[in-house]
Parts: sequence; structure tokens; C-alpha cells
Amino acid sequence: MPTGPQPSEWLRGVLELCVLRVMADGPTYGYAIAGRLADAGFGDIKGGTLYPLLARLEKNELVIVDWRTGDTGPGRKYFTLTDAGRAELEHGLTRWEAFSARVGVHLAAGGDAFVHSTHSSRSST
Amino acid sequence: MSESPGVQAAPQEVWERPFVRAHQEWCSAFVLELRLRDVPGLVIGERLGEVEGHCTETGEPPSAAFGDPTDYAREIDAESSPERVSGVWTIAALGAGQVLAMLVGTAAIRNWVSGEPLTYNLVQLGCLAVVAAALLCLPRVLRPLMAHPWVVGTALFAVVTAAGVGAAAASGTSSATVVPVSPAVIAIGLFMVVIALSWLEYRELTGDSADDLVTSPLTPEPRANIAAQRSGWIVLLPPLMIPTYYLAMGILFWVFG
Repeated sequence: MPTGPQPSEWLRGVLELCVLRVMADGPTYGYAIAGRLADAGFGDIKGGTLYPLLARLEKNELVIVDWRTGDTGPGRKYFTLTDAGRAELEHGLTRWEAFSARVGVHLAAGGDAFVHSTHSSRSST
Repeated sequence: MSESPGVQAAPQEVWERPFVRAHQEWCSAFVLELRLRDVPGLVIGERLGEVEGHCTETGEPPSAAFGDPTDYAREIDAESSPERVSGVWTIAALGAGQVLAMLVGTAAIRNWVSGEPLTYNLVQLGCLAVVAAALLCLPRVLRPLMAHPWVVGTALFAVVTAAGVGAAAASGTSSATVVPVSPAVIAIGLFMVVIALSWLEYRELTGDSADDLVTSPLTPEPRANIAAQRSGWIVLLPPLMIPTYYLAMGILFWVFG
């Protein structure tokens, strides 16, 4: 089924959870996170969107940071999930699954209602 | 690729970095906004390091990846730790105090030389208040001053000049109150005040905030030591400016008065 990019307000609501999920695989840095999200089909996440979110995670002590030098580039700021960050991810995943299931049920029911409504209006004519 | 965790690089001012020099306008506006919000230099350097690291990897200019520098600075600051330094406003207040003491003090020297009492009327006091207000709000107008240097700079210059001309024109035109202290005492006393405020300003610029340079956490580039040496003597200039001017005016009044 063809799908275009999701509306930005949808992504805004779940971006933090998606970033935490990327971090759950191990220490990582901003550009790599943006790359993983792009590979997952979320589109091009700009630095102006991503880094304020990372700053918030740091402020809330969900991650710890350290700067590392590399063979290429001037250096990278690595983010590592703390125990509080892992707990936040688990909590977020539970809530998201419940929410997405609720939305799915609602949309499916709405779809059925739409089909019934269309069918009955055709029958009456 | 190999990476070494937790490398402690020698601090280097961000202005020495090729990336910052290549995107001077964006980086200056970003640093200015965070400085005006009293964000510590180390934190500003980290934020700029994030921008440099990201743009180096994506190949984008900072304006494309992070948008308007002032807006981004506000956004990133809103999401960051509320750690603050006192810097900008304290220095503005100390500078305003020095200028006011200098204006009154040099006027007192002139009267001391001519043997007349120091007098002030309401218009002159109002003009002094205008100058003080203009100096105190300098940090606030710095942002528009950078954006529109001619418009805002001319307006600021006009206000201060009008206050000076107004004060000069008002002398002797309305009932003046004699300051009940000898002009000599005022001149010397206010010079001591200027010296004290200069010392405080110097302490503010070098003492507690000596480590508050905007340093980058990224791999240092050459010429870091040049920047450090230069910042050592440059920081002496602002505190010495007013006392030097005060002294020069005093000598001029005594020699040619």
C-alpha cells in the first residue's frame, strides 16, 4: 500500500519515543539517530527538531552524554540511555501500544459504520 | 571507524574553529542570543559543537539544518538545564554606574578648577537619567543593534547626544540647586567610585567568569593559544577605559581650564 510521509504533528507526538527506541540499541549520536529514523521511513528529521529533543532528554536525565573524537569529523556527542531512560521507554511503549490499538479499533469501527451507511443509502434509492 | 570515548581536549574558543569562521553570521547570532540569556560559555560551546558536528556530517549549512539562529537558540535554551551566569546585566549596570560617575565627576573637576560650586537643575538630572537608562538597556537593544546597526545605532547615538546637548543647554536656564559638597570632594570621590566599579567589572570579566569563554568540546584546531593570550589583555580594556578618560579630562581641565 503506498504511503506518503506522515503529517508532522503525528511525528511530533511520538518522536521522543522513537528516539529513545533508537538509543535502546546502544550509545549513539545525533546524525546516526536522524539516519535511523530516516531509514525507518520517518523522513528527514532536521537538526533544529532533533537536538532540542535530545537536550530535553539530557535535562530530564534520561540520557548521559559524552564527547568522543573520531578519525573523521571534529567529534561527536554520544547519548546513552540511563536506567530512567529505559524505564521511560518501556512506559512509553506500553502507552503507545494501548493508544494505537484504541485508534485502530476506533478507525476500523468508523470504517464499518461508513460502509454500512453508504450501503443503506444506496438501498433506499 | 575508531573512536575514543571521553577524550578531554584542551579548551579552544569557538571563534578559532574553521566551521564557525565559515558560518560567522549564523554562529555569532546564535552565541549572542544565548549570551544575552546568560547561558554559561561552556554550554554555548557544547550547543555550537552539536551544530558543527551535525552539519559536518550532513554537509548542510546551519541555516538549512537548524533554521534561524536566534529562534533555534531560544528553542534549545528552553529545553536545556536552567544553569545561568550573571555576566551581561551586571556588566551593563557597572558600566552605567561608571559613566554616570564620570559625567558628574568631570563636571565637578571643571567647577573645581574655576572655583565655582557644582550645580544641577531638574533638566540636567533628567538628561543624566536618560543616559543611564540608555546604558542600562544596552543588553536589551544589542539584538536589534546587530540586526539593524545603522538604524538602532543612530537612534541610540541621537538619544545620548540629545541628552548631552540638553544638559549643556539647560545649565543656567532654570533654577539650579547647588550640590552642598565641594567640587573637589565630588571629583576625587567619584574618581574613587569609578576605580572601584572598574575593579568590580574586571573581577566580573576575569574572576568568577574567567572560565566562561565559549569553548568548543570538539577536537581543537591550531591557534588556540593565540586566542587565549589575546583574551587575556583584551579583557583589561573595558574596565580601564572610563578611569583613563576621567583622568585625561581632569588633566585637560587643569592644564587648559
